[in-house]
Amino acid sequence: MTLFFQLIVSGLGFGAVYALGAISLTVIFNTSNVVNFASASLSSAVALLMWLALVRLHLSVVLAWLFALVAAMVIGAVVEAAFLRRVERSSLIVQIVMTLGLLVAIEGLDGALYGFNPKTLPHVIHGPSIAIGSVFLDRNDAFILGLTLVLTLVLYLVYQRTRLGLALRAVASDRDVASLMGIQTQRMVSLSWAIGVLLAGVSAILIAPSISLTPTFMENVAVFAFAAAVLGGFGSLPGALVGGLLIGVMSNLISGYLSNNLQLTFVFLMILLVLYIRPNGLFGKRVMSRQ
Amino acid sequence: MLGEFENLDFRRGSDRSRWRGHNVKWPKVVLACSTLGLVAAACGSSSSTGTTATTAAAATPGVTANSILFGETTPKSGPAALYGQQQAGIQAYFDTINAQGGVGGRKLKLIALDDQYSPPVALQDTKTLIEQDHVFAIVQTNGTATTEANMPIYQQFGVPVVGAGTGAAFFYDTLRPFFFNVWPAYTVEGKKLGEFATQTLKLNKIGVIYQNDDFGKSLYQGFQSSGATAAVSIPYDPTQTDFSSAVAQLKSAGVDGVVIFAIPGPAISIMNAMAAINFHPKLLLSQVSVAPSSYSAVNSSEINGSYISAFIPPLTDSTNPQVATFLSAMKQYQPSTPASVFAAWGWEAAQTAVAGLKAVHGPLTRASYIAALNTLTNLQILGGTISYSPTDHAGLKNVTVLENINGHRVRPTA
Amino acid sequence: MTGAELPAREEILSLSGLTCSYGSVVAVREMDIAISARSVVAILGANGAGKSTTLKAISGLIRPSHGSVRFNGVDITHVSAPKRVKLGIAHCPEGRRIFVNETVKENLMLGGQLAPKKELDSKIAEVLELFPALADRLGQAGGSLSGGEQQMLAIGRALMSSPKLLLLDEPSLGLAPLIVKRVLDALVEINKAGTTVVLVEQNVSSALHLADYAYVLSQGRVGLEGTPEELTANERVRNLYLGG
Repeated sequence: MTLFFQLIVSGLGFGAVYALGAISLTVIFNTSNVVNFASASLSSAVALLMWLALVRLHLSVVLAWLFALVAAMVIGAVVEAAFLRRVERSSLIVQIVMTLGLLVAIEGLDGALYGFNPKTLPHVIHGPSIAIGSVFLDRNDAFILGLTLVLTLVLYLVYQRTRLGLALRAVASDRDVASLMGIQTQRMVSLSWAIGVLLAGVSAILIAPSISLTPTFMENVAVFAFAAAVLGGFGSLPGALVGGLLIGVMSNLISGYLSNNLQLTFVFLMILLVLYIRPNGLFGKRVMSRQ
Repeated sequence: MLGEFENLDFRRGSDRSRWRGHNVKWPKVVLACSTLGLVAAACGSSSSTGTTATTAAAATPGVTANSILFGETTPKSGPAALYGQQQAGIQAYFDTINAQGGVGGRKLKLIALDDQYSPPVALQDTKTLIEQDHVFAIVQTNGTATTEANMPIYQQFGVPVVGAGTGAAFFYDTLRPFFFNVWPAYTVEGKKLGEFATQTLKLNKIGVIYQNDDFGKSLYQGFQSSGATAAVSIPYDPTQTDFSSAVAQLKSAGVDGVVIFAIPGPAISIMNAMAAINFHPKLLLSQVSVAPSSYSAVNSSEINGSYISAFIPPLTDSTNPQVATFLSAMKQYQPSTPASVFAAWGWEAAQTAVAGLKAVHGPLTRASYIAALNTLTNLQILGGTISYSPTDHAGLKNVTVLENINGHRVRPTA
Repeated sequence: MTGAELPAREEILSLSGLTCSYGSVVAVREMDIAISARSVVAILGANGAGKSTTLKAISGLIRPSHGSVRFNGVDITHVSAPKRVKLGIAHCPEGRRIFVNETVKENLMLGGQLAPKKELDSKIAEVLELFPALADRLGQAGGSLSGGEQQMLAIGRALMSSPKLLLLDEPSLGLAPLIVKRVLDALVEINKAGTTVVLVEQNVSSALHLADYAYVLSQGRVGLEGTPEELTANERVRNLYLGG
């Protein structure tokens, strides 16, 4: 039984990281209708900038975080303006190729800048794991989980309770009509890219200490995050959160009781099953209209 | 015969004066023969080596009257870029030999290409080396999948390959006439770790986590061949990042030792995941599992006191003459690259390749080089003793277990 | 009564030489239209005549390839759609296009996106006064409304920006006659309050009934124009649109 609970608790840390990644994909998808396959390289780039600030520039932790977060938002906005805006009216396949191209290009660029040797970021929270009976919870995992919950709640409130959030939702559902409401839609898309890369970057900075930091280290995480977003019903914030945590825990249980090696395979089989039963995912919106 | 003399000479590697004396004469003979335009008959039997070498220069790729060209492919960028330090090790040994006048008057040259640890890139690089650069032989490749990818092209051109930076069964189970392993087979390494775990550490219950490919499976196979059994064995995919479940299973099974057959990235993640659930078993790692950056990347002091298989002796031990020579050559010729285990891999492959050159009878051709390599017996290189025969290309057979202490591999204290 | 005897009214909108294309297809060519303030103007024509395109060019959803759009005497040809909303142009697009997942109240709030927050409640109250049917539906998702309610919501949403010029694209399409009447009555009220209304309609008789002036488009050009009286007198219009 200890194993069972340990698998669940251990799954939450990575699950929260998948959730942040899924929320990042969702935020970007909702306004721009682009599935950001470049997420892995963009988030790695942010974590590498954090490393640059901490290790190379010897900035204080607070300054380094500020630097990384601002850089993340700038990267998001610039990538959108310089690349995605060019193809916003193009076909889906062109947009997919654009983000995949960015994935490879940014990884290559980071490789040239930093090299591929694994680097280290310090844990945000230090200290021994928290013992809950015979089950242990890593402090860093606990922090990631808490931060993810808080960030999701804040984002959710912004989306549901503020005019900015309403404007973002409007852009998500009908860009032309949103502009007829006086909303600067382009600015909203830039903003959502900035927020999206920020969230993905935070997830990368938080998980980097547990694995090793390279220009490609988020690739595997991004695959799970993508799965989480699909499971949650691409477009739903609570769905992305639940999807991420569920995938973190489920993949651990699968690995623990079925096969470690087939983790990813089973995760995607599970998603296929969910989509078979609920094509819009667990939290997918069912668009109701009598039109 | 001259060839035997060389071979003998090499075995007394420290006796440089005789070798050097021999060396001075050779270019003169070559020069004399080629200037006169005479072939073997005119030069007489005593200098036949020199004469035919001149003709061989035209026929044998990469060999001229005064140089021999080797090729190397290792990752110099990409996730496994650290392994690229092997190039520096090779170059340092070549420079050492060249400073002594080269081999038979010929200076050793190296073309090194970056394969990014990617099989298709490695194959392209190898084609370039063989078809465009016309290298004589390959000294050291890196990695299981990359070297497997190159194999057909080596075979097609019959290019001698000395040292492969892998110990996977693929390279040891089948004897390929042109392919000479330097590393001990992974099965040998795995067996040693298994013996160490059961006999030296006397572990009761052992867990094994291994990469689910030829590399990990060969090591695990070796581990099992030692008679050790794994209470839990967990294969993993090389791209896996979340190991929390794997280590929870190991902990839950109550093992007192864990053997990790992983490349450095996953090994770091595995050790961090262990720390996260407060699981501190005895750790045994394959020699490829730990990179220098692992020490800072692993949370807590998990890695300190872990055991690691090795054939390269502790590089801190400068009383070992092989180590001392390596360290001083690296300092002299490759000061910008650390004298790391990776550089040592390159160095010992170069040692083997050069020993083969020195053992050549008659004209230097790929065939004569392969024949010469097959005659090497009890050759002392940095990693130990190597003997080849026409039926044995298995490389080093000695593996020891060292302890990781503060970024160095040292002899176990226990 | 001749044109010269009409009271001189200021021009709120003028299109001159307007040409709009979708790729190689020209939807509107060299169109000249002038619209007086506080009038109701109908734009009529068959499918594909360029009616919707004309409205989109006025609201800024598409950019003309030639010609200009002047609003209140200012050239707004290169002004973006959101900024035109600020200037006082509201566009109720074809098919209503309300935000189906957002509530009725949120739809209205979006219409008032540029209005100060404290004015929102009073503006919503005004809309509810005009369309009382929406009052009970405020918390409901827009997509759950009936077609007529959705049309009322779309118009109400457009009114939230207190426009000087209201563009309506086929507001009566697909609605029951009784509902059409309610919607058109509302337009009269809106116009009385001082808003210029430009109405694209296929329901020609009701449009002409409402309008002060009308343009009949054909193949992207203004084919005919005039007061409703002039147009109903025209044999071609009668034949084409008024069922003989």
